[in-house]
Amino acid sequence: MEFKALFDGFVIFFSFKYILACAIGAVLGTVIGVLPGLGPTTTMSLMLPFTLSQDATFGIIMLTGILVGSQYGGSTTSILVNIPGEAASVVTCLDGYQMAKKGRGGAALALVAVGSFIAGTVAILGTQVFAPLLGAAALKFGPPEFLALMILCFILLSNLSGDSPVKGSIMFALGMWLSVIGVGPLDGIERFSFGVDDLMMGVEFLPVAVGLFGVSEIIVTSVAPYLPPMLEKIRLRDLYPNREEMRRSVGPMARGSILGFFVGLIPGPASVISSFVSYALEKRVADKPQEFGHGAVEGVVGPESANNSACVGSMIPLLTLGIPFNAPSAVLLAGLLMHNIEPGPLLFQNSPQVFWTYIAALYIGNVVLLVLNLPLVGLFARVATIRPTFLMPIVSTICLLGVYCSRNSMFDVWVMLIAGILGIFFRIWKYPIAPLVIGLILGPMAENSFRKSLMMFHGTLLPMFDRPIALVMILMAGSFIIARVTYTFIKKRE
Amino acid sequence: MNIDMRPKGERLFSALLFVLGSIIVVGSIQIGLGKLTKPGPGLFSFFCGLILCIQSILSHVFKQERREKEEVLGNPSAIMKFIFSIVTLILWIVLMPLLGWLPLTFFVTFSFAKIMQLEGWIKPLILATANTLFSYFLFGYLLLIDLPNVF
Repeated sequence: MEFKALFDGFVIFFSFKYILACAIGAVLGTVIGVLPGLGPTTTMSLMLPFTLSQDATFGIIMLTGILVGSQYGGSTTSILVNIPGEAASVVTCLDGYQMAKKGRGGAALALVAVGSFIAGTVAILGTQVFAPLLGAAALKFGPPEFLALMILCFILLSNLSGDSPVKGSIMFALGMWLSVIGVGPLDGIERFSFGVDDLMMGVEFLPVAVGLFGVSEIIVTSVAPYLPPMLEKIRLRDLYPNREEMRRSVGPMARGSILGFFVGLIPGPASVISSFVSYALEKRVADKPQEFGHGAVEGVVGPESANNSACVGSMIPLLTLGIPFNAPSAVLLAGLLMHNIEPGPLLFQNSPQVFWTYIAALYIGNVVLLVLNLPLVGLFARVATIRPTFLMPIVSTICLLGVYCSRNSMFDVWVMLIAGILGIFFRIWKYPIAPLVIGLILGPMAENSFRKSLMMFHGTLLPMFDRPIALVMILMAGSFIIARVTYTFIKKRE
Repeated sequence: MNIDMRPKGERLFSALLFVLGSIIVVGSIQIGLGKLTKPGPGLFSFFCGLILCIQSILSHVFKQERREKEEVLGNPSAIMKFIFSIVTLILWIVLMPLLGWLPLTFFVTFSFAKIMQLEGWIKPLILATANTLFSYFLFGYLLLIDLPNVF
């Protein structure tokens, strides 16, 4: 481990500006995590234009704070009001709310805060160790390896996002096509711009993301507003878990931390998957599995530790390969690109301070979140009771002004509006949005590696199988398809 | 008998996706596919269009299990709210050069507050005023962003 570089990262981090960015991100993320509806991706997209007035380090610290904070915040409403603030906390409702009904809500929240802190720290350590190693290995990646990685991403994301792999692949292909629009980077030929000048520059990520996530959420909520929940009351003295609860939480915290970190390395909604896998694992290894669903502390602490760990772990592919495996990472990548920082193998050579300041920010952010979450949990929970009738009109103006001011372009606002309308229909008919957003951002890299590989191998892609890294990734994609088909076949027969 | 319970709208949507995929395929051929040894600028988008066509046919053909009816746009009142929301956003875009951003921020906040049925007139007006002032403080004063201003 490069302790000197990490120390330098801490030195850069410890300025008023970056601590402020971390605190704003953590608080905002926690508040967003608490609120039903607005997720971390929407909020990060909304905050992107604001980071443009600051440097890249400020931007990445704030956006990461939002992401990690939302994982913490999501558990609060799951436990106290049985409403998950975001998707990764759905499973926490099962036992968390039951604990709250038994008067142990405070203890559940405290254990979740501690578990999330430990899991976050384990994942940061993992990132610190594995990211530079993977970054060094990624320097050996050529166009065929990147193409194989894109194929793996396509297969996994299509299958893991949403209910239907067919719809997932449609969205991924749509996103890839959107990225093609405009003047081609390799040969300068205009593609699918239909004579519209603004389209010559291509479709920007920000308006599409804000439209699909933010505007569609505003319209859906204005059409069918959710009801603000009733809170289970907690007192400060209830925050202390008893000895039995602490003893039962140690194992789930450790297992969740490690499991979540490795699930984070897989393309797809890692936080959500890790929480469900962790719940299943805890139920399997528990001494009293019959308690699950009736307030088992393992069923709360394990999944929450796992989703926090996964959230940090999912940043490794982004930082080392420059490839986002889920929607929040895609927003973070867009933020880095807007600041002219290209994550990937060369990040450690060209901008090592960004990586190490990011690691330092994760450590401090984790402490900030623990400090905030224990005493202020009651306050954050109250945020969930804000009525959407007050919230959404404000969010709508932030969407409009935020997208407009990123390039001072009214065309971007039109793109946002169209994406928002499409987003509603995607939601209604269960087309997953994340693959489209990731396809849009991965498109240029996919096209580049596809065309270069064809030229390298004189018109065939078969020599890819002679390259070990590419071969492993294609085999992984192939085995996933076989496993999926077999599973579907067996399920149908049952 | 296996009956497809999906709404007609979804079938229409997958048909539209097929049409879009076909347009992309044709457009890509016009742009130029090149040769496999020297791929042209249309080759990648050609495959994107092809995937869209094939998968939209699959999504159209394969029957899915019956699921809960989606209630988002399930009644006339919801459809009206949907239309008003879209119109509000369009008006913001169209009127921006004429009125400037501050009156329109007020208008959008007020309009969404009414669409979401915030009671009476006083509360929406207070919310719209407060949000306009907050937006001015954030965008105009703190971030010094150059937004269209008529006044």
